[in-house]
Amino acid sequence: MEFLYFYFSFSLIFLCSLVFLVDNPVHSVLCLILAFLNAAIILLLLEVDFLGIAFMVIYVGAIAILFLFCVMMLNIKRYIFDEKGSYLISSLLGFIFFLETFIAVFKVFSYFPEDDDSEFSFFTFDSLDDINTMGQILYNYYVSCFLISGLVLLVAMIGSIVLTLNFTSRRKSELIYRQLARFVK
Amino acid sequence: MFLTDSNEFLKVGIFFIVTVIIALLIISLSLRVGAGTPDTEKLSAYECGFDPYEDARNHFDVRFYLVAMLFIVFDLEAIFFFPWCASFSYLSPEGFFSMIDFTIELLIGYIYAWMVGALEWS
Repeated sequence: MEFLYFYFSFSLIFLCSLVFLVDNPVHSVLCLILAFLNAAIILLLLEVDFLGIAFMVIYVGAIAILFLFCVMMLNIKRYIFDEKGSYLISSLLGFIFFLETFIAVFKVFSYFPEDDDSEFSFFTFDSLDDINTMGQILYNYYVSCFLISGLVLLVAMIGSIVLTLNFTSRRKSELIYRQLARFVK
Repeated sequence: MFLTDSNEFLKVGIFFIVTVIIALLIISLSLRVGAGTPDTEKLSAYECGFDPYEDARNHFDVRFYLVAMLFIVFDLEAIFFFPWCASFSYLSPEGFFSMIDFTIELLIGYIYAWMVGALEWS
C-alpha cells in the first residue's frame, strides 16, 4: 500500500506542475481534472471513502466544468509567457503559501494515531464507516455550522443569479391564450 | 478499506487496470493496423465544404455558466443529504429538523430562481 501512496502523491505533484507548464489552457484544465482524481484516490487510500467520492462528484463533475467554461470565456488562443519577473513574484507567493500550509498541517496533525505502536490502536476498534461518522458528528454536534453552510449556499445561488442574469431584457415567452385567440384570415 | 483484510477496492482496481489496457490496446491497434494515408484534404478542417472563416473558440452566453453554478449548489445539497440518510437512526430531533431547515433554505433559493426566470431559456 505504501507504493500506491507514493505513486499517487508523485503523480499528483507531477500533474499540478503540468497545469501551469502546459501551453494550451484546455490541456491544463484536463491536467487539473486528473489531479483532482488523484487527490480523490489518495483520500480513498486514507479510508475516507465518502469524502473521496464526494470530491470526485463535486470537483470533477462541477468545479472542473466551471474551469472549462472560464477558459472558453476568456478567449485565449495561446498565451506565451515571456516575462521573467512575474515568474519570480509568483514563485515567491507560491513559496509563502506552501510555508503557511506546511506549518498549519504540522501544527494540526502533530500526532497520528496510525503511528501508535501500541497493540490497542485506534483502528482496531473503529468499525464505523466514514459516512456514518460524518453524519453522526455533523448532524448531532455541528448543527449550527451545517445551517450556516446552507445559508452560504443560498447566498451563492442568489449571488450567481444576480451577477449573470440580465433582468432588463424581456422574456420572449408566448402568451398561450393570445396565441390561441389569434384569428387567421 | 485497504488496511482491513476484506479488500473491497480490489474489484475497482481490476476494473481500472482492464480499462487502461483496453484503451491502450484500441489506440495502439488503430495506429498500427489502420491504413494511414493522410493528404491535405483529409487533414484540413471541414466545415460544410468551405474554409472555416471563424475561430472555433468564440464567446458564448454567460447563462451556460449560470446553469453550471446552480448545478453545483444543488449538487452540494445532495452531498449533504447522504450522511444524513446513512446515520438517520442515530440522529437527535435537532439533527432531523436541521436538515428540514436546510432544505427550506435551498427551496427559497429555488423559488427565487424560478420566479426571476434564471432557469428559463428565452
